[in-house]
Amino acid sequence: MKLVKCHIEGFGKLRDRQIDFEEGINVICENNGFGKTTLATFLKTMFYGFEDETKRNLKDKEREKFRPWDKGSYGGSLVFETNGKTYEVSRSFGKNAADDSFELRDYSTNAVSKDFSKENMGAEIFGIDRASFFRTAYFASKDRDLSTECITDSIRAKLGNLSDATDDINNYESVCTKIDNLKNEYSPDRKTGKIKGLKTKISELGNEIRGRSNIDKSIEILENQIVSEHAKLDRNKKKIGVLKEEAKKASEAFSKKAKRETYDTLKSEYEESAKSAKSAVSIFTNRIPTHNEIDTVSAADMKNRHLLQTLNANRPRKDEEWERIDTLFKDNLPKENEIADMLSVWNEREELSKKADNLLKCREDSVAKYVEAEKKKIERDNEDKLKEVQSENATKKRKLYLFSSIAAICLVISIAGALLTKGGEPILHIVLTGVFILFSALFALFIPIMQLYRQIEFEKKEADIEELIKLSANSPEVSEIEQRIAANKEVLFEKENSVRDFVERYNQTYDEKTVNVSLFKISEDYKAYTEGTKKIAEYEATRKEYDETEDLIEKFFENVGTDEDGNREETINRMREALLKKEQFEKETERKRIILDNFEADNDIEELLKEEDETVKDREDIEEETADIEEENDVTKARIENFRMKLSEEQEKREEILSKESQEEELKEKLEEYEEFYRLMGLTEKYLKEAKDALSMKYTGPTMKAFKKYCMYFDANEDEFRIDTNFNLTKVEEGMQRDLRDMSFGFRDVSDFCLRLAFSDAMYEDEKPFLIMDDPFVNFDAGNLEAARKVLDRVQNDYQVIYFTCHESRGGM
Amino acid sequence: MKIIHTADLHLDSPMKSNLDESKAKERKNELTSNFARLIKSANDLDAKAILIAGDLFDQKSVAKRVAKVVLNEIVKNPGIDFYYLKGNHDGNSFVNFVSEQGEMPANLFMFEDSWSKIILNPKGSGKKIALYASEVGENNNMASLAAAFSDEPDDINIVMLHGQGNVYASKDSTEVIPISSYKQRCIDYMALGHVHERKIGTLDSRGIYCYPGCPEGRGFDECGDHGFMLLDIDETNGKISTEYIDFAYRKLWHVRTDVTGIADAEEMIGKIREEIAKMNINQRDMLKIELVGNVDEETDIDESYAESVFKDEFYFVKAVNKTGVQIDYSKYENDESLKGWFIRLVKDSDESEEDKGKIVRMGIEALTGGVIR
Repeated sequence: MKLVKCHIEGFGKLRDRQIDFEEGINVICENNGFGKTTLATFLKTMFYGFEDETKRNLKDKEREKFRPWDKGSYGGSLVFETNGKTYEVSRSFGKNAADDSFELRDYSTNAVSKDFSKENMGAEIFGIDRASFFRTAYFASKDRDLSTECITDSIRAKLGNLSDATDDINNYESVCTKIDNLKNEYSPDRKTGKIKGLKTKISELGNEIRGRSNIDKSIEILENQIVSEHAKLDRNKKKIGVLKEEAKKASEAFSKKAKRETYDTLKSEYEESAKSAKSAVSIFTNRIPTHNEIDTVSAADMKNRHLLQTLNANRPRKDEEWERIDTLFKDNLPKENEIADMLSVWNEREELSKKADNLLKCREDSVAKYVEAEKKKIERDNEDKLKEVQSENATKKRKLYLFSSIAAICLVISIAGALLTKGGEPILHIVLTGVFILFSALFALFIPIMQLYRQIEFEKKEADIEELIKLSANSPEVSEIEQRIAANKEVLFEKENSVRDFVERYNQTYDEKTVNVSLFKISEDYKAYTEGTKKIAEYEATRKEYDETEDLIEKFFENVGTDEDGNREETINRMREALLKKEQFEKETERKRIILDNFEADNDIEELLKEEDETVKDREDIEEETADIEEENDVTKARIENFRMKLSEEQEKREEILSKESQEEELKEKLEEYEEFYRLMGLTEKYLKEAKDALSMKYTGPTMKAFKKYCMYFDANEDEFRIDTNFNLTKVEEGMQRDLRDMSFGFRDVSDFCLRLAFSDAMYEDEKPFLIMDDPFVNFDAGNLEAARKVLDRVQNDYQVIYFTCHESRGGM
Repeated sequence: MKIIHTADLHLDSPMKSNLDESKAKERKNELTSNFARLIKSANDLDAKAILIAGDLFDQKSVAKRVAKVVLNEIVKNPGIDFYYLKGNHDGNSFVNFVSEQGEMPANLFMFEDSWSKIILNPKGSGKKIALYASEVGENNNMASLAAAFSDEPDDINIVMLHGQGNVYASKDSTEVIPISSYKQRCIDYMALGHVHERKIGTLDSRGIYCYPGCPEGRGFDECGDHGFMLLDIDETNGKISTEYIDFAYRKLWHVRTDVTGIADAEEMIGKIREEIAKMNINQRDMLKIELVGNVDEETDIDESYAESVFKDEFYFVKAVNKTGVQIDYSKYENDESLKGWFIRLVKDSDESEEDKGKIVRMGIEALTGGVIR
């Protein structure tokens, strides 16, 4: 493989630059900033194109990194030889790989060649990918000042890793360590291992979760217990229902009984009342009269009692006096006012008599005048005495009448008393009456006798006066008076006769002196008679009325019929009372009947009168039983509450376990993830180890051989060097393999350079690539620089070398 | 009449997976509060009934506080009737709790393991809306239930069941709802539960069947929209119009991002953002970013970086690296370095291609001093 020339159209800072390459070493001595890395990248890119850009950030993309600053054309061409043919490859770069153009031409014929592909030309030519190519073909200078250690490492890395210092096999140990650490971190066996830890935790959770079945069972038991207690409550509820029903029945029975009793009472009271009403009028044997009838008969009775009293009180006199009077007037009734007329006549006669007296007086006066002188005194005395006697007589006559009347009244009273006190002492009455009559008669007799006596005494004195009168008859005055006396006397006589006839008609002795008495007597008798007849008539009328009423009463009694034979008034009163009672009872009976009717209307009497249900429990028993059940219910409810509390606790526990289950699930998921990670780590480690072993196996031998070829130029004993599978170079000193890091920097630089070359030799067995060396000997001392030159001399036999340097001293190579 | 059909609320679910203790607790509370939110939605939508086709709770034994929340919400909303059919996750725990509190609320209806028929609109003047539901229990199975089913053709018939449905089941199965057996049975709507993903299908010329899915996703196997079905029933003509109501408070998203060809982490983030932008993702949602595709052995895919970038933008972010390593072995054919030998050895090994990629990537990371992952 040989580069012929290149034309850079535009790549990074390089533009329109033509570079021709010679075989062997091509020294490009330019100052820093010329674009050595750019040129190196250009050459690489001509073979490989840009690396896969999909995953990189814009700033990391080589395409962007080397896009010309002036935004002009981006790309160029390269002429190279390989396998005896010369090709020209032209590439222009667009925004991305798809916009890139690629052209390969056979340089000698300019014909487009298909010998290599756009994407894999480099790999097809060199047998390694672009990264490997770049790692092996590019020798960069190392700044020792950056790290004294990393130079050796980096060189070794380039040798061993075929990569940059940060990659691959250089990291193998650290990768192994990292993986080991991770495996330890995730270890399923170590106590501190995450997998172990998770398993332990899951196991612990599992143990706790296993308790769930017990809790579930416990919850189920508690729920069942609650259900069972509820069933008990339900049963009791039903029992209470039955008891309520029974209580209702008992209450109904009780009520029925009470109602029946009420009914019986009402009925009994009604019947009793009806019976009382009936018995109240038992006094009536035929029929029950009306109140009017009773009132009528009562009034009649009362009336008759009065009538009887009247009759008794007014019973007509049947005594001798009445017989006398009755005989006197029975067939000889005076005419109306006849007695009074007679009295008037008599009074007229009296007047006439007085007139006569006056006339006589006049005559006497005349006489007196005549004899006045002598006889005046005697006459006056006599006249006065006569007047006095007459006056006394008149008084005594009134007394006599009074006594006669009292005697008559006493007589009547005595008779009446005797009659009224039938069962008393009639004899005593009669005796008393007799005495009284006798006393009255004596008194009556005494008075006329005394009058008569006084009259006689007076008349004796008057005879003296008569004498004087007789002497005066001769006087004219006396004579005229005599004539007038005679005329008066005639009238008087007439009147006197009429009175006499009348007096005598009624068996009275006419005496002009007692005519008044006689007339009075007749008058009194007549009065007694008219009163008596009137009384008799009244009595008879009363009697008749009484009898009629009695008849009415009798008929009433007969009609209603009664066994009563006591006092009629009382009987009637009892009858009235009976009737009132009957009415009261009837009213009461009616009231009770209405109550009874209402009761019957309100109640099913047929049902009420049915036999009592013997099966009905006693109310108290029911209440007691209900109380027992309710007490049991309270206990049951308390139990339920207790179960609920426990259930709540168990539910909380279940919650915790559910939480743990979910935790377990998450941990299991995590465990699965960790285990998968652990498994993949194992596999990764395994394949990394296998890769590393295979790589080492392939390159350690050829690399060691090539290293020995180059180290001879540094006066080093090739047999003293060893290389292990990690491409760690050691040098045997004093029988011990010493790490190159223990050697001098110069030696390490040289040995690293040789190792790189050796590795390239090992890698490119057939087609050797060109090598780009970017001032690799910048830190070499003079001795080593010389040795390096020798090496390069040797190298140029096998490789075309593009050698960048900024220093003339090294440019001489 | 409007009715909500929901199922699989899985209240009291632990919500532990992926989340730390604090967020798990928060999610659990959110899940519980979903029941109140559901009722609020029912009120907002003027729905008079809620059909819960099973798995109201996640555990047979429900925590008292959760049961209390549910019962309180039911009691607080007497205007809504709750028809709760127990599912395979539900136990008697809730019923026990309700019993302890006193009488069953008048607006809560539950079912036995035999067909029950409830008229949902007893006071309605139009057609009757009849709900038929049965649990699967000791006394029956899905096949026997299907055989025993009967309804009134003139009613608006809704059947509620909980279980995996199989439209094409040719033979009886005790566990699977033989949906085809309910064809031509005068059913207008089959309200199903158990399947966490929404699924609607035609039953026959008259009816449809529907799994509303769970109203809130709990894990990354329940990604995307989640909600419930709103049935608007015209009682005069018996027509049911259905509407899916998006409900989930937080949604879970599977952000699958192909990172093939990316050059660096920023490109990876860009690709993820592109994928996120395609989805209707809310800040309170939960993301699982799955990095897929093939990258070359030197491209470093760091999923933890993606997590760190997006964790502050969303409630929860988890990133997983499922990328493969695609190696252009030809590049290494002539690489005489340890790496080249290593890659060639791996290439020629018997390891699986996936492993080869991982081993190569790991080896390169090791050799280049990168972080071995």
